[in-house]
Amino acid sequence: MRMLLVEDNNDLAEMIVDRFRADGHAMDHEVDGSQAEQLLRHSRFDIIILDINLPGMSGYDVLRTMRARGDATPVLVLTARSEIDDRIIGLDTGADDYLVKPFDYGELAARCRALVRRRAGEASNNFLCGNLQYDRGAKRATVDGVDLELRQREIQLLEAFLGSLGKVLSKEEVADKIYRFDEAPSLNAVEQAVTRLRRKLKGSPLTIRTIRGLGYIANARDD
Amino acid sequence: MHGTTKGGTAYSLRRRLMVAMMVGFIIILSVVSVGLWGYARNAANSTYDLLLDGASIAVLERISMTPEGVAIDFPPSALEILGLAREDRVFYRIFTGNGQTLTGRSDLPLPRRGGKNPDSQFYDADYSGETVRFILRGRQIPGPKAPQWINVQIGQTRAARDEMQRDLFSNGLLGLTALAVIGLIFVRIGINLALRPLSGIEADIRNREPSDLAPLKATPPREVESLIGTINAFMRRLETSKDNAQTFIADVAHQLRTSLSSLRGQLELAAEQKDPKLAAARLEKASDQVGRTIRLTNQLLSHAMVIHRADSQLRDRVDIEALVKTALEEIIRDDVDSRMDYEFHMDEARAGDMVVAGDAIALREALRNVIDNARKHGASGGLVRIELSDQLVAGNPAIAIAVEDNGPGVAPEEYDNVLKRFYTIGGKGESGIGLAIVKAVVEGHEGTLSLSRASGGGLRVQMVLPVGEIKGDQV
Repeated sequence: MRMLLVEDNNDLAEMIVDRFRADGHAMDHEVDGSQAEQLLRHSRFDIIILDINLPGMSGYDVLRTMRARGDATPVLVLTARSEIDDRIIGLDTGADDYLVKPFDYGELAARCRALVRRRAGEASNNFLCGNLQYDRGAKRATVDGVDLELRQREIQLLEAFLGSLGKVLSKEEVADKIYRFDEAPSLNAVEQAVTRLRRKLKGSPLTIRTIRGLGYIANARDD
Repeated sequence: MHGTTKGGTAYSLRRRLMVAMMVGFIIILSVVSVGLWGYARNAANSTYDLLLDGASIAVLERISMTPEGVAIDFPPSALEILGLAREDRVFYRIFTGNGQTLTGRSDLPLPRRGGKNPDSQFYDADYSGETVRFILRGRQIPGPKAPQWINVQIGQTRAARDEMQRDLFSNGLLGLTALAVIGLIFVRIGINLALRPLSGIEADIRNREPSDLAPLKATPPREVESLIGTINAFMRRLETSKDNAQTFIADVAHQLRTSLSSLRGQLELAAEQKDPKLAAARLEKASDQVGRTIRLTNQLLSHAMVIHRADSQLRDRVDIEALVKTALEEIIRDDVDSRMDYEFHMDEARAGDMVVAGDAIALREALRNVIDNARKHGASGGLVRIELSDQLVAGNPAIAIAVEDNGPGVAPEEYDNVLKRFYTIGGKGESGIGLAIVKAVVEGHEGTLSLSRASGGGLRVQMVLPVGEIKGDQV
């Protein structure tokens, strides 16, 4: 992945950059908020890890100007506990996720993967996660290269889950996605479809949880 | 006491009372001085009128009728008596009943109207540019022929009278003023006495050590008693919160030191280890210890944060259902592999209306901790049940959030303990701070937190949050 880290604490930044590069990612590092903002005007990244307390320009402002420009690159915000506030919780600045310092490198890496995957699940033509591959154009899902032979309904279901990884989807929302408006949706049928899809996905890193009373949450397990 | 009160500048009680008393005294003095002025005038008049009277009688007595006509033997004593008032001039006129002047000044003014007493009357009239006090006294003088009416008119300028009147008035007024001043001094002393407990309190507070929050020792008058009571209650609250903060800091210090000491121990052991395999195992242990320390630190900071936020009394519109959703999303994301199942129950018809006025961040923190707690203590492959319901607390609407696990549960006698900081049961390497955070958040929202046995035998934690006054936007 092509990554940008904006962090003014040199020790922490060095550690993060070393680890990500060791994992084979291309990572750029900026210390100053306004310089990061300049860089973002003409460079594309897969993900941005953004500290809030920055010299030059606060992380919030960097994020706001980015989103105002229409740049939808996934952003993970790093914050000290004291700064967790409504702006982050509402994620209304346009942050996709946040981590509180001190954090574990493994967790940071997993969150970054999840974000990039979520973006892919929403949009990319070819979704790849571990041994699971889904080709949106061909409507074909494979695990370890073996076609899962999903039916029409299950394909729609899979796309719905990939499009909202890690988010609660109520049964009604699922039904809206997999039934045409002229069909009478049945919540029972939704349950059965989810059960079938779950069985077919066994052995893939994609898990679909049922939360009775709320709906479903699909998550991609890290390998 | 300086400074300003809310909504304007501070006013002085002392000044207000003094001004009120002064205005009162001035009104009294004005009323009294009008009376005093009249009294002094009467007193001066009656004194000098006696002299005038005496003189007129003496003159009249010496008038007799002789065959030649009226004989006037003017007694010098009469005018001497009047001469006692040195500054004053004296005029006289003796004339007959038909106005014929026998002797003296014929142009002296007569009274404007007849007096009650035809024999004698006093009146003031202007003469030769001054106000003159006159007496007019008449008598039938028997004579050889028909008796004749003779009038004696004596006038005296008013200087002596006016001076006497002024003297009387100013002496009286001086006494009154002295009385008023003494009164005001007493009032001032009274006010000072009344306010003394207040300045005593002020001095008491000013001279304290910053850390001294003992109750005020003043024995206040009834009127100030409730003020002192309130101040003392406030000090008690302050002391409690200070004690809490100190305990918290001591706890934190102890926990972090312990955690860091054992980390250091692990690292030293690893450094001394010659066998790389064993050294790696030691490092693995140290790494686990770091993870625990980080979790502990985060929990401690979270605890400090919710307490701090409780002080700031944020009250936004918080949708509890949405809060449960995000909490579950986060918990499941961080724990993808667990076999734990979650169930959510609420009245479908109330969807979107399960809302309280509160601090979204703190509530979110509390909810996460409750669910996390249930997840950790539930049986493996167990079930965490979350239930929202409406309740009434003291007649006010409230929302109850109940979280149940199906683990071994907690003995009722341990309920109070598990809400304390750093108290853990079974020691799964936890900070034991989760439920303490929940308790702090619920108390900050004036809600109640209760533990009981879940239907499945596990622990049921129920937070009841008053709905409160909801304004502002959804957070």
